[in-house]
Amino acid sequence: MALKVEQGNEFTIIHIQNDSVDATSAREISGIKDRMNQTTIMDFGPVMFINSAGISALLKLVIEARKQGKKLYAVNVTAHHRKVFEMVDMLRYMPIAKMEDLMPLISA
Amino acid sequence: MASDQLIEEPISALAFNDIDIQIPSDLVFEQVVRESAVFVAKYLGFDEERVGDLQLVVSEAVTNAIEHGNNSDINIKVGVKFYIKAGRLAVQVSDHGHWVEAAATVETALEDLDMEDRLAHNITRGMGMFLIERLVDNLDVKSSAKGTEFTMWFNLHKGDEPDSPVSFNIETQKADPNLN
Repeated sequence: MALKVEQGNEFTIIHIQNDSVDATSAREISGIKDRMNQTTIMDFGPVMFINSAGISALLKLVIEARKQGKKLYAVNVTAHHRKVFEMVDMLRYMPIAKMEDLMPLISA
Repeated sequence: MASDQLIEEPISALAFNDIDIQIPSDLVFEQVVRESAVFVAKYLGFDEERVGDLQLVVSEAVTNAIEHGNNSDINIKVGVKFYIKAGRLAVQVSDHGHWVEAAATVETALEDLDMEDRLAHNITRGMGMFLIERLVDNLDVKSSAKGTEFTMWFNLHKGDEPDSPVSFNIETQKADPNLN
């Protein structure tokens, strides 16, 4: 399983557990669109590599979240992936945050 | 000439010999090249961000060569060559496809389409080229009846990155209709 989903009343935290997000994990990512909550956090902790298939899947998810009126945040993102997310407009839909800054949102 | 005007090659770059890799056209082997790219980048002293850039563009170019150049025919090889020329690292990916559409693909990737529009029109196939175009310092595409050579260039010295968008040199030659 590439994803571990932690669900609260008002939040969902999606922990990506693989070191790469590619065509295989893309299928799992597209499968979690119905499990997003008002505040959804994607934790990229162990991720070292994301290819175009992974980026496309993430973009589809974040745009879906926006359509559903849900707020999505990314945490633990490397400098390289921050740059790539910026290039593909991902940050418009999923800003990068620090986990500690999001604590008030998930503990409210 | 002042000493600070001299451009010195990193010692690792001076010791760098060409690396040639041939893989069957199966996506399983893309990882072999991807990991080689990480090794080369670290050997040459690239910082972590640039290591990620090189890894990503090599992966995307090899995936394109396997899927579109060689139509995933496991009997045909994709060639990948790492070499240094004029203070730059070149990664040349070659396949046997008559990648005449390469030029058009690159031109499409250059267009600044809104990402939401791309997704709405399901234009995700060009995502790999979109990323390559933005992460390399230069790109050469040579396509002929024999196949396609796709060469990505990375400046070895930080700060040498061009201010203007990357330049592309695209040479296409129509496939001989008598072939195939």
